[in-house]
Amino acid sequence: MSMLRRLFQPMLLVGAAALSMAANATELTVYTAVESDDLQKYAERFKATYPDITINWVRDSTGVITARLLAEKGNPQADVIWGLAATSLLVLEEEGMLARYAPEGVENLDPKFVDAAYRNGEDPAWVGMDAWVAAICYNTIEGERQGVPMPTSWEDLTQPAFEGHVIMPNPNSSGTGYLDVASWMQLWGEEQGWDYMDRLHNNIARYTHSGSAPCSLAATGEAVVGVSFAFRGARLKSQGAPIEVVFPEEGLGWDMEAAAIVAGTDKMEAAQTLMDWAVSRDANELYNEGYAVVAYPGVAQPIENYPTDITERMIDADFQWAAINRERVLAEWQRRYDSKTEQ
Amino acid sequence: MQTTMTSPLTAHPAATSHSTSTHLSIDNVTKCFGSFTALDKITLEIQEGEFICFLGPSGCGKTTLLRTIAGLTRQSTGTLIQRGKDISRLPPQARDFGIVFQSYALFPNLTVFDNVAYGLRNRRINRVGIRSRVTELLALVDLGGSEDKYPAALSGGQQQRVALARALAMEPGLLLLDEPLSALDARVRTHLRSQIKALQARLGVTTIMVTHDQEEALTMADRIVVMNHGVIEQVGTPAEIYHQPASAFVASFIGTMNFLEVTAGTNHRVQLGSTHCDCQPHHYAQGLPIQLAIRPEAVALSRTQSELMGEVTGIEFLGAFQRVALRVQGTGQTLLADVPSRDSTALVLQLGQVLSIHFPADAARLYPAGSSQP
Amino acid sequence: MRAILFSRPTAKLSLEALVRLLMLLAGVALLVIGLLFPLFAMLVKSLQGRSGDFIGLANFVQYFQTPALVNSITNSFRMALTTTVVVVGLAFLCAYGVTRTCMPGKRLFRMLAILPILAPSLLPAISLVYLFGNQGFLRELLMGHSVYGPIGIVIGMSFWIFPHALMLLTTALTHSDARLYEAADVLGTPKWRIFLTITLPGVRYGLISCLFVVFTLAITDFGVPKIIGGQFSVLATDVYRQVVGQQNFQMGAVVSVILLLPAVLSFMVDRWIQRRQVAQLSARAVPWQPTPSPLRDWLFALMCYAVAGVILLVIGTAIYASLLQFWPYNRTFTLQHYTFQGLAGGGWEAWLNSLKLAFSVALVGTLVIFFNAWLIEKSDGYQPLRQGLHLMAMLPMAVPGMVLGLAYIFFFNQAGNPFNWMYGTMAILVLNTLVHFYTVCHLTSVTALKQLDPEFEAVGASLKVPFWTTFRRVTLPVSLPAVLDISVYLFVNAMTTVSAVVFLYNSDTRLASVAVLHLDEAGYFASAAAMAVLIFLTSLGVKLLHAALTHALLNNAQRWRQAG
Repeated sequence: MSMLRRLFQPMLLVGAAALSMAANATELTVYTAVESDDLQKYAERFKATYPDITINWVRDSTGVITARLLAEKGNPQADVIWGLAATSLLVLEEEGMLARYAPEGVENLDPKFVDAAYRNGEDPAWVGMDAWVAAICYNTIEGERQGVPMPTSWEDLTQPAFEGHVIMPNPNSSGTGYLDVASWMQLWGEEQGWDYMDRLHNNIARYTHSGSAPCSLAATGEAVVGVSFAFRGARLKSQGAPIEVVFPEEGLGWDMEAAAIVAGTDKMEAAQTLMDWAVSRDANELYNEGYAVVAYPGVAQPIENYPTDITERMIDADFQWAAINRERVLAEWQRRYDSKTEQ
Repeated sequence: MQTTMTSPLTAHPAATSHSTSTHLSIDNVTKCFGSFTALDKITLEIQEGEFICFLGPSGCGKTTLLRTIAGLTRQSTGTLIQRGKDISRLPPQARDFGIVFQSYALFPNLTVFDNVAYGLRNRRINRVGIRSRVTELLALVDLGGSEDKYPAALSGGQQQRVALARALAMEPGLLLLDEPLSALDARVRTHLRSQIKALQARLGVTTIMVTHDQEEALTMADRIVVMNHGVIEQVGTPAEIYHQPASAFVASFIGTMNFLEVTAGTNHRVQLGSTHCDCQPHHYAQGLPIQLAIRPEAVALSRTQSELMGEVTGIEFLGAFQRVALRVQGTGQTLLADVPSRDSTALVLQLGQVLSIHFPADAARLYPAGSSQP
Repeated sequence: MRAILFSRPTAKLSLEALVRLLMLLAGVALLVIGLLFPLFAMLVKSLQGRSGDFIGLANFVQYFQTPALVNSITNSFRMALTTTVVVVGLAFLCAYGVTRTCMPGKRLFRMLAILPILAPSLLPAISLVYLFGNQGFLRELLMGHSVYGPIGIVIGMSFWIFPHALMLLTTALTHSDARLYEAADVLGTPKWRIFLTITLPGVRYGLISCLFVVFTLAITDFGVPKIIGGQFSVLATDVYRQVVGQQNFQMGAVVSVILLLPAVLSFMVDRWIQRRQVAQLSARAVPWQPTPSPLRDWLFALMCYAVAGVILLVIGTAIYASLLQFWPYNRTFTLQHYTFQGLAGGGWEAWLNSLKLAFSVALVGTLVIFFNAWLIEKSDGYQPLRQGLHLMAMLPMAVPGMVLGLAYIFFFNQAGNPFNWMYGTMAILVLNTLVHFYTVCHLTSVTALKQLDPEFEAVGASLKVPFWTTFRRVTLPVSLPAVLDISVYLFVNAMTTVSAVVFLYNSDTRLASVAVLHLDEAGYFASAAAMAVLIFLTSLGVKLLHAALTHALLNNAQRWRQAG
């Protein structure tokens, strides 16, 4: 009996969903790549504001969520994407998977954080939430023990002293990994970028699946240097890890977390409500609890273990370029370095 | 409810009249497993209240025939009519029979009571009815008081009697016994043999038993169906089967039989070596090589001189009689003769001795040369 | 259909025949939908381009032109072969100790040796990082070699495959014929010759079968190389990387097809051997009893205890790792990693989901698989259907979890597939897990059913009892020990498996085993260890419960089982 119930439950759910729509309590499926540390917080706050909308969160790493969205293109499961790298959203936009919508109050945001189409008078396909910034996690204890100095620049990482001590994320699976690669290319030009990565590759111990793993590995002393992002480093340091978060002097690559509506959703009204909330001041204050740079000007407050001048250090990132060249760059990267990827 | 049940102690209605009405008629039944023909156009009528034995060597098709009657195996062609109803295409559940297997097939996790009551439970008979019926059945097979035992706690013979009670519980019109005694040791077997026979006679239930043991068949059956290679060789009473075997196969399969190669002579004579012997009238063409079959106990020996002489090559003491092997002079063929112990003293049997051999003409049977022997 | 129905004279009978046919069709449908269609969808996918157009073998050509991918084939084989040699060698010695010597503590050893089965294969990998990683307290043992890579993979795999090999070889070595040994002793044959001429030939089929089983497990495992593989890529992890890392589903399908080949091949060889083994031991064989020989007994005991020690060390390390505040710099004990607060993977909810999955699979799977086996073994008619069902039941053993999981995406997530509603639900996880572990349960069921008297069904029918009543009142109760074995096997595997379900979970069906993977990926190593330990303890609890239940059951059934 319980087997039958289990088998039919999904059907019942579909039926229930249909009913509840009539009763104006909507269920939204939202795909996200935000850090799980934060997701709970965001979810709770949203629920408190809009009790009528129930959200089914699907969380995974940037690469996985992007893969999933692309795989489900013919039969999308998500209604809203909320908290995914802008470079990924641009790829989805190319595929025609996003529905344009100008959330209430989008005009208050820093124009850098809104789809460029908005400046040309169109409704934006996506809106930014916050920026996450590349950084290096350096384990001071292991550095001293193994004679690896603290790096101050990206270039330092190619020095012989770092051989076998550097861990970075695989750009194919990790959004952080790709923002690193894209930012190096934007800093130095494509050719110089590959040249740099060729040299860096000699020092790499391994490429990890996720963007936070290199910092975690540095924090536990498995590696001395982990190329990761600032937010993870700051948080691990607060937890007592013997690490320093280094912001290389050449400039910091960054990407933003952004939100968009999936084209073809049959819950447009609720989806728009979520988008309206995503650009609100209230939500931006929440983003600021983890991220130093947010879309709403004037909201950001300084964060522990974060430099205050971080905005100035961020490079002038060209997300369009990063999105258009994503597949080509990743294929080339894979051809050159894939043998050292963590499984 | 209980009134709907006939006590097994009263004889079967059909049996009391002992009419010759047909219980089961098997018409032209053939069963093939791939290219192998297990049953070849079997036709047979079984009378109400009869005890029938299917007898034959293993692989002769007797079990297949029994399973076909039960519906456990579906015939390839042919029809089965039970009490006027065509059951050819009915599943086992819809046929009227009880069955006992060689392996007993008692449910090990159920008590003797539950085993016997297994079918009754399904019939919505009230508990008191079931209890009295089971008690009755167990008393019938001499197992009163064993209700709460599990099969594993019973001896083989006891288990088989439980299986019998279980098969009879539903008052089947037909009782099928598939080698029910084969797994038991000799003494239990003999005992159970007479018990089953007596029970069958008392209940008058039409019974078919499969066996490869001729002694079992001869002692228990009203009629024996001898089978070989998927065909019926002979149907008859035990005496007919024994004394007038219809084929060389039957002759050799039942009891001990001498086969001598002879040549057909005139219509009531055959030639053995250079000797002419009398026999029953036959229709074999003169000069045709044929077989003469004679039972050892029908052969008479004497110390006189006659046309047919044999040299004693072996003597086996078998209690009531002695089995003497002789080399028939002039042919070199071996012949067995049973000499009652009290006669053997007169003969003063010893090896190498040459004795005169006599065949009573009506005891010898003739079969075509090379016809099947097991 | 009509003909069948109307040829039956009464309504009740046609019902019974109809139910039987419907059940059989349902069993066939289950495996066609849960196995054949998805595999077919995967084969098709491997021949398609990104936009779904047919491009023939172009994907395969591209695969073999990409050195990074082709490398994995050699890597996989090297690793699987090394693991096979290590595991089978060690397991043979231990099995010999257990069966052919009088070493003390056999029961304890066998209990300890079974423990790795209760843990996800991710657990040993995590422990190895703590033992042999750059901060590991035993890293000197590796003499400068890195544990991330082939060394870690082989050790990790050996750990969790060892119990499988031990069970197979113990069974093989138990079946011996004492008469041969007595004859050899009487002839004054030296011990080593007895071993070479009697012992080895006696277990050769079991040994070869074990080699193939271990090889298949090693080449298809995903958990260990995922966590500890470092830069060393193997086929199973390539599937994951192609799909999850690079969204290249076509290439994922290609790697799956390539991974399927050695597994299917080794499976076929194994089946062939199994068939030959049947008649090997005559019913007259007398089991051989070892006689005490202190030196030999203690040598084997020491070796077995050493192996058991390693097993305990690995499990202990995982537990230890899960309890430390911040390894290696803050070694105060805490339970905070068991809260999984705000971490990836779903935390306790994932554990609850895993429990739900495991119970569902154990319940549904046991009934379905056992009943299907009954239909195949004990019912008559519909020969082609029954044979087809049996063949399909044997197939899942040859399908690696990664391949099955990916195949499910391809099949169930097609728009227009009537089963599309299952995608992303618990139902698809149950179906997938049930199919993934079908074969062993099927074989166990068949063995148990073959031991029953073949005439139970005939007796039931002759007593006008419907087949389902006989199934419920007799077949099922008599086979209860086997049925319990199957359910606990399904439970433990549903708890620990990662490879198939990693592609199929959804936000509200996240599983504990997948959470281990994600926690590790995200860098929450202590929490990953905690979740792995949680899975292990859950499986252990259920296993102990099962042992107690079986014991009670057998005690209870002793009344009717004693002589039979």
